[in-house]
Amino acid sequence: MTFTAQALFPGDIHDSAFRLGGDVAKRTSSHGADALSLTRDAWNIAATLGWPALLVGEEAGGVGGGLHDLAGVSEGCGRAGLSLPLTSMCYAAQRLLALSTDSSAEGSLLSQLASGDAIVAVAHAQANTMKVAQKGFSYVLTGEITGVATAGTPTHYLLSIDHAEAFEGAVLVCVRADAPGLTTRYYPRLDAQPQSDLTFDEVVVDAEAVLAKGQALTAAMAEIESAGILLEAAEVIGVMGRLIEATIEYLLERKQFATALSTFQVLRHQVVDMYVAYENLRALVQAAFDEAIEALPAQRTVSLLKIAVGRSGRFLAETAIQLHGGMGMTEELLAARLSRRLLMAEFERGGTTRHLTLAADATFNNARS
Amino acid sequence: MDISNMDTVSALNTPEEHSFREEVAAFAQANCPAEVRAAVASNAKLTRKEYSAWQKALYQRGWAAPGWPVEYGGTGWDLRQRYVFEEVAAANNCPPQYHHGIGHIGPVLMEFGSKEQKERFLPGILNGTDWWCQGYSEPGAGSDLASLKTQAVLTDDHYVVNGQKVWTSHAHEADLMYTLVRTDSSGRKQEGITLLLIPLDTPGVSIRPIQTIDGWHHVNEVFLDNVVVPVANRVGEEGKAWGYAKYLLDRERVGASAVPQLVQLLKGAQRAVAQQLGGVALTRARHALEERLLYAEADLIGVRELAVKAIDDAKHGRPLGSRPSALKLKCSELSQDIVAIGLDAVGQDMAPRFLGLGSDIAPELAFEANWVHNYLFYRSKTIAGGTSEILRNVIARELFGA
Repeated sequence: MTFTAQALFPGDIHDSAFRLGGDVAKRTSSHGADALSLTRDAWNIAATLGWPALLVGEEAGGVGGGLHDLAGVSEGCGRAGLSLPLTSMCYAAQRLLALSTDSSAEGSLLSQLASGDAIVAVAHAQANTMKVAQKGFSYVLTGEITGVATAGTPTHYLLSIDHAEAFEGAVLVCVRADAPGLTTRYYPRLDAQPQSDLTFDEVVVDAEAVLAKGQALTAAMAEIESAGILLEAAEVIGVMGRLIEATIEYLLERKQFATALSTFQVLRHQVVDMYVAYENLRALVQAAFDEAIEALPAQRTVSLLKIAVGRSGRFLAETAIQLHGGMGMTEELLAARLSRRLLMAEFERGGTTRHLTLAADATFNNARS
Repeated sequence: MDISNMDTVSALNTPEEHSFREEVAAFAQANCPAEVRAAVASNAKLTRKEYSAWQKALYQRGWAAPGWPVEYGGTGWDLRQRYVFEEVAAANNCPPQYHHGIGHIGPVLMEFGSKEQKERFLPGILNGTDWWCQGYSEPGAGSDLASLKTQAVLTDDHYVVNGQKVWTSHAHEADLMYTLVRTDSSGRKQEGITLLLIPLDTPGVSIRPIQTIDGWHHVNEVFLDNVVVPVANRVGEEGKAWGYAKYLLDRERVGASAVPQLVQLLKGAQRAVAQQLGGVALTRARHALEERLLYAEADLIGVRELAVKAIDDAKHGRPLGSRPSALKLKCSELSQDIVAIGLDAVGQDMAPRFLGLGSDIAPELAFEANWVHNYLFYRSKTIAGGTSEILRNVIARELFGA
């Protein structure tokens, strides 16, 4: 009887995500185009399973679920080694579309998203890479947004632009993927999840395409970052549990010097260290989600969670690779791909760079005053 | 003491060494092609193209093999001078010399090869026209290399070889593979191993790339299917090759251990931190990395001193003890610390996009992206060539006397 990870968000939602992920992961073994078409297939199935509808209200044809449901999806995908932009396309798009007043109307984009007729990706332009100019009753978009998390073939993009001169602040614009002047370029991230760079060459949108602006939008984006950190932490827990299982299995199987590697004390202790870090992080994730029932937790909690995920993720990834020897360096090994997912997770949503500062400012400066 | 100016650090700076440093620097700047130096400066993956360009330039200068005896084309430099050469070459962005020919099979041939083999193979190693790779590890023989199974059966004047090698670095661009094969299974496993030199265009040899997590191509599987190898390509005697491999291992214990490259790597990491994390908003993040840079620098000054001291010990015939193994272990882990600092400096920007930049990119962008590649690649530094766990056992046996 060897170690088996217990789901933090158990249930049907978790299990179906794990099954879907397993099917896809079996066929994944490399970066690039292969991964791109596989995640497209995965997203089609995800839509049939209703994931984009989870966080949409029933009045718009959704399920009326919450963050904890999506956490089950995340954790299941993590355990399967399937990396999908769940926060972006199952939480953020929904949250942002709900900002516009007629979002629940029949035929609205939100209801199309819930039904699977529309696939909506979210692109966030933070630096001044986008120009939004007013032209009569329309707006003209020029510039680029890089690193847009994408799965499937989006029909629409929600552009959250932090600094738009025509609005003297933040604006949310909806653009059809087939809009003239919009081009996309796909490539894989560190963890092989596809993303795209969007280039806007004087793309014209009408006034109805502006869905939100100013403080309401900025607040929504901050919420999305916090929710994303929680969801990603749930995914990471799924990844880590699987990684520990896979590492133990490898060490029991692999023999050198006519002896199973699992008998060497140094290697056993390294697995134990992985396990202890995992249990502690799992509990922290649990605590954070417990604080997230009514509303998202405070920034300090979210940032502490973020830096803990980063540090433990790096540790488990490096240790797992080391324990697998030469195989740990290969694409074809599931444990190596799981390790890469952990490494990438650290850098999402501002990473340790941003959240160490946020957590420190919230912890120590307050204490001094 | 300042890592950015090793001339100030001590030891290898006699007047002769000082003028030698200037000579090497001038030569490097004039003769190492600009595109090679640019690749080294950006910590790019180096291939046969870069390594052989530098090897050819060195050959023309008579510096092809600083560690070889003069009668075989060596320079006659002692260990100190060789270290100075490597340090200055690295500081001028020249690649390290590719080790399989110059450092491995060349010395083995000089010690154990026949006259005919030396005449046939040594010139190509010196002038960079022949490129070698190492056929040692197998899927079932990693740390336990002696358990290798690739079989060679002697028939008349040739061996017929069947089996599989794995982790063969750069086999995809090599001409020849020096290969450990099993010619006898009856006795102790170490006693049935033979060294064969196999041209990779021999019928029956097929090479398959292994995709590694760093996005670069280094290693391969090499399948050997009834490959015919003339007896004239056997080095030394049948069944004695384990001793030849150990000969190499012992020679490796005193050497630069890639310390000069490590110094350049740290300087690069310092630059990456300064470039990526300037500005008030990133102060805390920058300070966190600067702390790690300082610890790495302190470690590196010690590492360089250990390397220089090992040279001095070897020169005076003093026993080396555990220090060479300790140095190797320390270097592998320190190199990982340094590339991790680079990763943390560029990761926010580069982890999502380093694989999407295309091949023809500006040097500064390549410099940034390569930290992610290198962070992943350097995970293998504590695995390849003897895992850290094995190395710790070796050191422990030395420390405990058992």
